[in-house]
Order: sequence, then C-alpha cells, then structure tokens
Amino acid sequence: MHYLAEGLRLPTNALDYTILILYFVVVLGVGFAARASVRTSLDFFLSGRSLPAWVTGLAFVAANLGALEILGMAANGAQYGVYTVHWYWVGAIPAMVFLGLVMMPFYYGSKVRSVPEFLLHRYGPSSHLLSSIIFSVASVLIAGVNLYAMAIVVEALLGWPQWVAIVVAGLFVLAYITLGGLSSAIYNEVLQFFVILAALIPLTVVGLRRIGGFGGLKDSLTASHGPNFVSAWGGTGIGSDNPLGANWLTIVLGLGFCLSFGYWTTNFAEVQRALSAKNLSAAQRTPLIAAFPKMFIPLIVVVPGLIALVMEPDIGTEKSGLQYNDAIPLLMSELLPNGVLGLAVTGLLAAFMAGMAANVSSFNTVFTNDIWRAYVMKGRPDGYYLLTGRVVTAIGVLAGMGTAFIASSFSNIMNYLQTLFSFFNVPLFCVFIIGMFWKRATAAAGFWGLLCGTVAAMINYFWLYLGDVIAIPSDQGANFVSAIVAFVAGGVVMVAVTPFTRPRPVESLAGLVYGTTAPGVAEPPAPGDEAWYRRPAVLGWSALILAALCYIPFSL
Amino acid sequence: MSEEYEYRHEVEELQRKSATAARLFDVRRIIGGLFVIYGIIVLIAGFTASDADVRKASGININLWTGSCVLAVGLLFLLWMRLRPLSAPGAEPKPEPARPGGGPGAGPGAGEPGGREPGSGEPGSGEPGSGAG
Repeated sequence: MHYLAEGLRLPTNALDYTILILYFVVVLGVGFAARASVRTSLDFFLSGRSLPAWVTGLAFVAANLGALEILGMAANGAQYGVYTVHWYWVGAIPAMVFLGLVMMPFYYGSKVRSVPEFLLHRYGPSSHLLSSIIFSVASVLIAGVNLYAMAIVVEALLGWPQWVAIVVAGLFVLAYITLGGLSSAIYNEVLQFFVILAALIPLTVVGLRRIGGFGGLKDSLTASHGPNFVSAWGGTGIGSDNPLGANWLTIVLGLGFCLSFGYWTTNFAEVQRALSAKNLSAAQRTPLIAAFPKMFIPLIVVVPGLIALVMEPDIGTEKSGLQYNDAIPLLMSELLPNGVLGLAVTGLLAAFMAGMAANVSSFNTVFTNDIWRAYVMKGRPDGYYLLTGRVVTAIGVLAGMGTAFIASSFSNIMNYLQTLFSFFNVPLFCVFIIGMFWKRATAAAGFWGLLCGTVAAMINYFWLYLGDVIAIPSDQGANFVSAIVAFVAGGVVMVAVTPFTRPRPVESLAGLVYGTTAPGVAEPPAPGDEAWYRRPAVLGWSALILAALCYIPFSL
Repeated sequence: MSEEYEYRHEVEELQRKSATAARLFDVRRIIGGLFVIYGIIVLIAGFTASDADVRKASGININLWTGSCVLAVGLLFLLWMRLRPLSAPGAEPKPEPARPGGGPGAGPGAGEPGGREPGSGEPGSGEPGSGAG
C-alpha cells in the first residue's frame, strides 16, 4: 500500500535543506520555550485550560491534517473522484458543529481531562478502563504506522534510509512534547498548519495552470472517466454502480453520521485541543473555528489528486508503477522548482510530525490520568503525575518507533488493525450520545453497548464482508455499512440492558447529562465573548450552510 | 456526593496554580518570525529563478509569488501581535477578571491566497490577547 516508485526522487538543493533544517530548529525551540510554562500536570496535559480559541481551533484542524490524511485524501481523489468531498462536507463539518454546539458543554463544563474520564463519571470504571486501554493501544499503533509511512515517503523523495527518518522524526516529537507538553504540541500544530498551507497552495495553483484550470480539469476527467467522476452525488442511487461502492444512504448515514460523528466527537486526540481552551465559549468555538478551514481543505488536497490523475492517467495501475498515494509527491517532483520545493518537503514532514504529535500527546494524557492514576498509583502528589506524563511520553514515542519497524515487515496486519480500531469510535459515540441525553442509561448498559457495538462492526466487516457472505462492492462501502451496524447494535444493546440494571444515582450525574447543571458557580463569560461573531450558534450554523453551498458546483 | 466531585475541585485547584497563561510565550511571534525568514529565502530563489525553473512551474515564477505571500503572512502576524499584545505577561497567574474587552483584531493569515483562514473574512475573529496567544 505504501510503496513509492523509484522515479520520485526530488532534485533538492541546499536552499531546500536550509528551509527544512530551519523548521526543525524552530520546532525544537518551541519545545524549550514552552517548558517554562509547565508547572502542574494540568499545564502538561491540557495547557492549564488557558489557550485562546483561534489557537486551539487551528490545532484542531492540524491534528487531523497529518500526512496520512493528506496523501490518503489525494489518493482517494485520484481513485474515487469528486466523491471524496463527502469526507469533508457531509462527514467532518456536521460532526464538528455537533461537537461544538451539543457535546462540548458536557465535556468542558464537567471539567473532565479526557474523553475516557467522562465515561468514568457518567458510567463507571468498566467502560472507562475498556476505552482507555483501547485508545492507548490504538494511539501508539497509529503513531507507528504514521512514522513508517513517513519513512517510505522520505526515502523515495529525499533518499534517506528508512531508519534515519524514523529515528529523526521520532526523537524530535519526543523532545518537544516531553519538554513543553500539550502547549508545545499545540503551538507546533498551529505552525504546521500554516507551513502545510504554504506547501499545498502553490502546488495546486501550478498544477491547475498546467492542465488548464478547473475547466480543463473537469473536461479531461469527464472525457476519461465519465460525468459521474466529477460529480458529488451522480451515480449514488441505491443499486447503481459507482467507484466508491456506496449509495447516498450509506454515505449520509454510514460516513456522515456514524463514522464521522464517531471520529470527531470521541477521538481524544481531537477533543483534547478543545479541552485546553481557556473557557467554555472558547472550547465550543474550537471545532467551529476549525470547521471553516476544514471546509476548504479539499481544494488543496483532493484537487491535487485529480490533477495527478490528469497528468498521469495510469496512476494506480501496474503500467506506471505509481500508487494513488504517490499523487502529491508526483506533483511535487513534476511541478515545483527549488525554493518552493523546500517548503513543500517541509510541509509534508510537518504534517507527519503533526499527526504523530497529536497521537502522542493524547496518549500520554489518557495513559497517565485514566490508567496509571486511576487504577495503578492513586493519590500521589501532582508532581508525581507530571513526571509520569513525561516518562510515558518517551515510552509512547519509543513504542511508536518500534511499531514503525514492525510495520515495515507486516504492513497488511497494520492495515487490518487500523480498520479494527476505527470501529471502536462508532459505538463510543453511541454510548456518549445516549448517556448525555438519557439519565436512566446504566453503567452496565454503557459497557455492553460499547463492547457489542464494536464486535458487531467487526463481525460485519471481517466475516460478512471479507468472507463474501454479503456483497458490498468496495472496502469503503463496507466501512460505511459496518459503522451503521456498530451504531445500531450499540444503541439496541444499551436500550435492552438498561431496564434490567440499576441506574446511577441522579445526584452523581450533575453536569454530565442534559438538563442537569454542574455544582458550583458557572464560569462568567469573558468580556467580548458576547459579540455576535463569537456566538457558537452563529459560527456553527454558518459552517453548516457554507458546507451545503459547497456542494452546489458539484451537483448541477 | 463530595467524592464524586473531588476531581472537579482538583482541576480547579490545578487551574489556579497553572503557569501556562502567565508564562507561555506568544505563538504569533514564532509564526511571524519563521514566515518572514521563509518569505525572504523563497523570494531570493524567485529573483534568481532560471528559465527552466519557470518552465517547470507551468510558466509561473512560483517562488516569487509564494515568497511574497509567505512574507506578507509573516508580517501580518507580527503586526497583529503588535496591535494586540498579550494582556498581562508574567503578571499574576490567570488574570481572568482583568481581561480587556473584545474588539476587532486582524484575522490570522488574512493575506493567505484564497482566504482560507477563519478570520480573514470577518474583522474581529482574532481573540483579544489574553492568556496565552
């Protein structure tokens, strides 16, 4: 899957390397400078809940804008065409708005430090421990897969041996997170966001010009792949055939509702950015501010994938020796002169490090607070947990590097494991949403809903789909269906288990369930937050409307 | 019941002791500084671009364009920081009540081509500097 062709070696020169080295120096400098701000464990894990919304919002986008996402979405563009925009406009945006408007008051207002910790207070230890362990293992694994993917790209583009890339990138991430904790991860993510833009925008502009602009792009793709390839909804009727292997119902319910809501609202690597905001209003605005740049990211990620398909029509086939994942590296080597090329290489490496740092900084928080502190070493002074957090960061990065080396010999197994973990978020979302709106839902229902939902998705994917019991045309289509199965199974099990088990006392749910308020005085809104453009509802609804408008050019 | 909410008191306590708001530097300085340097480097590459470079980039001197945009973004960040500095650097931790009122601030990266920034369209999506910026 991650194989890159020999012919992609970039003609980098000293200028490009200057840009790259400068970046590494700054990243490390941010780590050292942020160290002075870490006094308590809350500083280390959640930046002392003190960051402004624009910083956490951009970090929220950047944490997801890892290189796997960039290369993968460009590859989806080249493979499935304009359908790829569904991941953004029907997938990410509604989920981010839902997180900001509906779920964030419970998360931030209840003062939990992580997503699993919310489960602890709402449901109790069994579901808490289950989700903490799965999240920790998945984070290390994904960090490793990310590192390995980077090593392959860097080897192809720059000619560094794989182990050099793994060790260098791993150690830089280790250094800056151990020093500055989440603050330095978030600051670097904001920086990475802008570097990634500076890398991808010129690439797209030059590429579009090469093939005759948007008009030329559309004409050549219509000629070679038919009109549905450049349309968002064409050919998605139930029963009709399309490259994505999904129909409008599985796209809206499976991808839009189940998969995306599961990922964006319960993935702690994302939610952590919002929890580090300085007040509830800023926390709510974090995913809402993020929704606006996120909406336009297909322009600089999916469009390059389409451009690559026009420039190299054989991409993804045996004939060219190029994989779909090579779309962006191919454009870099074909189109960019030295200088901008250095920026592009830096942007790609920055994206790899952003993705990995998000995994590592959320892993250390969950492992330290939700596993070590909750079940292994209780009641130590705060300094002990701060130190533990630093040690766990180092262990997590080293384990990720180990995973990267293992991944180089077992990359298929890694793909399956990733699919497997992706199923966990969907029932988790189901359990959260029921728990937030139904007081009666019991601890046992939470645990069994989580477990049964996950198992049901796995049965559907690994047995029914891969075993050819039911016919779904593609992996993506099967993913969407599995997500729907996971959500329904989780919900049904919860509703079925609840009447037979003891509910939690109502007074222990204050601030965790809709219609209750947390004890103590509510935080007063910060001056200036009442301005209309800072109201979460205004931001959220305009993001939704704008996302719907984005569909118009691709639906007519 | 008191045990249930112990963690909330602990978080509040830690938040009071937290040093982040008071001691974390301003990220706008880092972005601004790095982008000014990047802009200058890429501009130099643009001024010395060969015909082959221009031909490779479909006839655009892309280094010149990118360099000027990157430089402009860097300068905008430095300007924004200048206009709205952090409120109380190094003062008491958590100067919550003493925040300056909101007002228009330059959107981050308003010079970015395509206006991809949340703030570029509307004046004032920039936060008034307080806490860490």
